[in-house]
Amino acid sequence: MTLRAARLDRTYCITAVQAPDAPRRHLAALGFEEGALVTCLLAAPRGDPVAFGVRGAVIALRKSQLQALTVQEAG
Amino acid sequence: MKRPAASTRRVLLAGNPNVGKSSLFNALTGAHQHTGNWTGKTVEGAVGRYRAENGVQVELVDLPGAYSMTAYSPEEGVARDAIAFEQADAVCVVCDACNLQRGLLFTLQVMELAPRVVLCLNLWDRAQKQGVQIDTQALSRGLGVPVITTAAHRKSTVTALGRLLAQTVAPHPPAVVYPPPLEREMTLLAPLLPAGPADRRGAAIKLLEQDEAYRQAYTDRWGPPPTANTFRALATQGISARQVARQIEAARRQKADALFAAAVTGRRKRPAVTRLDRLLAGKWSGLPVMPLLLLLVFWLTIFASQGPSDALLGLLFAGEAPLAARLAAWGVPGWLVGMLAHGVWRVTAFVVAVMLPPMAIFFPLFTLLEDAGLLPRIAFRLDRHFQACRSCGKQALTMCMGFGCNAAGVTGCRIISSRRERLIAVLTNALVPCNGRFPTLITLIGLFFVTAPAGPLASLATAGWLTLAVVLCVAVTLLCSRLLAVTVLRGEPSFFALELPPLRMPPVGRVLVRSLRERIVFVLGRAAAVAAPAGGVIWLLANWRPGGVPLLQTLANALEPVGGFLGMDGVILLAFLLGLPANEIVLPLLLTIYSGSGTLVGEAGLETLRTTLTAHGWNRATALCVLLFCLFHFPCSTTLWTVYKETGSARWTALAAVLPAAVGCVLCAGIHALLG
Repeated sequence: MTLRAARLDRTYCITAVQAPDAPRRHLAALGFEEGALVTCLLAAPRGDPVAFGVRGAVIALRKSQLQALTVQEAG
Repeated sequence: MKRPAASTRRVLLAGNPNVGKSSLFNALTGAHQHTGNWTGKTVEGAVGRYRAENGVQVELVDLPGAYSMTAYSPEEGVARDAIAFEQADAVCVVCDACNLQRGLLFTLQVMELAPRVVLCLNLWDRAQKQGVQIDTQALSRGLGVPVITTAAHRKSTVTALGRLLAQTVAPHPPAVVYPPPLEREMTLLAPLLPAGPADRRGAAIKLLEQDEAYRQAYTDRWGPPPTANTFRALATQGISARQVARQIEAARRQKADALFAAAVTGRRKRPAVTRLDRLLAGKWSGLPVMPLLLLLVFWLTIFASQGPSDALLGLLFAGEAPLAARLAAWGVPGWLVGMLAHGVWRVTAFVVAVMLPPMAIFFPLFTLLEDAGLLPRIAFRLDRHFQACRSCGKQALTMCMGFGCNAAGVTGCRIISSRRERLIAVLTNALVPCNGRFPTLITLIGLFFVTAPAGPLASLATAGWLTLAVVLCVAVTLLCSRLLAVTVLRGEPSFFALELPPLRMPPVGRVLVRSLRERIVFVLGRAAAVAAPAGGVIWLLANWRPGGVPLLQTLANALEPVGGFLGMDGVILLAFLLGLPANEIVLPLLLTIYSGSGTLVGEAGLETLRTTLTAHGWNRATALCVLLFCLFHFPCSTTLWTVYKETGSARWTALAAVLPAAVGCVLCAGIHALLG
């Protein structure tokens, strides 16, 4: 599954990032990279954007960007 | 930037956004750099000085926050260039002790670019409260740099930091050791590079990492880097350019994670959002919060500014006649007496009496909301609409800054990384009313649209109208953004990421007092610099009669057809044009022109304004047109100059002036056609 399908209060482990170099690095700088645990914390009205807890911070991304992040649900 | 004298040490403050760099900077230098609870508050490096206990003078540069040394936005570029190219005496990396995971990765990146680094773990008290334990000695050993803990409001920790930054820092060992093939090539490449960058090994790493923005900044300074051989050599060993970049990132990440695991113990608190966050983000629950808060702020502003305003008005206008008499008694020529008393004094008095109180009260209240961390929540909520207009949700942040000052809002647009979206935000910023326009709006609404007798109820009604006006401005901003996005600034939405810092209770008293004092100084400064000369000029225009007719009259007559078409008159339009240097002088100029060289009747307070205006043919329709034109007209000269500096283009600057003016003209002409 991708992070687009994430549900509130669940934690996911990122298994792959399919994005061109520039956005991939940008995502990595924010903590969205392979092996990172992210928790879906908050959704704006109509579910876009969505905020995730990642490496101790809360970062919101647009729904269209979440497709690039393949995840697995983690405990 | 200018190098300081030999005896001063130059230290750069770097760190992730919102880790309290500016608070430390203020605490160390005694400066009043504006701080706020959101990412991107500092977009330009601020410079301050202090003298440490050992007598050493330290020049401190507060760099904009950055997520990494791979710059994505212009503000991050400012930080990266300073660290990588400036050869400072030291870089102090500030990390949030509660969120060291991300901070350490950033620290390693900075350490690669700068040879001398100090690590400062800020918000130490909060980390301890959260049960985070950090072995600073292990951290210092692992990194090879001095580590110090601070809390910006604890004086002793700040003093200790100041002392540390005043000492010479020894160069640190390589921050990260890369796989052998990469290390080999880096060692070969580094000596080929010019002595320009602060650290040649760091430059080699950034070039091998293929950080495009860095490569560009490097090439601008020293020409294309000699990396072709390096990549060829690595390719023959079966390592593609893409793999090189991946290996570098992975090695850095591993080192950061290992350091974190070794130094940080104790309960690691999960990032959390509060119930309030959920409430604000809720589809229905969050909807009324912002308008209601705005209404409350406006109400408080209007209600609290009435008393001081009336008192000042009476006091200052009563001074005009004695001033003129005293000047005349000193033998000052008549025209100069007129210019000083009826021009300079009157306009300045008006700005101080009518404009200052609302400005000085609104701004601190707004700062409170900002300090609480509300602004990013607004951007979070509104992003969907900006997305629909193919612009960036962070534009909501720059709009909020525009409430304070459009020039600051325009500079703030640097937090938007895509050039296209940044330009949209810059060009539409003046569509939200700045602090200097609020008093005009409040006064006119109060005079023409509120019938309740003066008191809390009347101020509430005024605040209600004002809130509606702001909602209109937001709608117009979205429309214009959309318009720009389908015409001159076409393109796809770019990468969007918005950090939501924790909501917090701001230190109310401290914020209010500091912000109030700063605003008063700021407005008084502008009054002296702009209102006073403008008052003199206006008096000269009104009394200089080439060919028997005052020049002012000639100008107003020339503008009359246009003004009339827009539902106003030539004098109003002239006041807007003459008010170009600062929006807060438009209304004072207008009234000075209307009242001519006769003495003002200031005793009855604002009631005299209504009499003056209605005597010159104003009705509700006129007032509505003036209100709309005040909301939507060309920005002040400071803002335009800032737009020019930010875009580097006269064309975009012209559009930044024409766009809001066009909106205003269309609305005013429409209203006039309907009601006039």
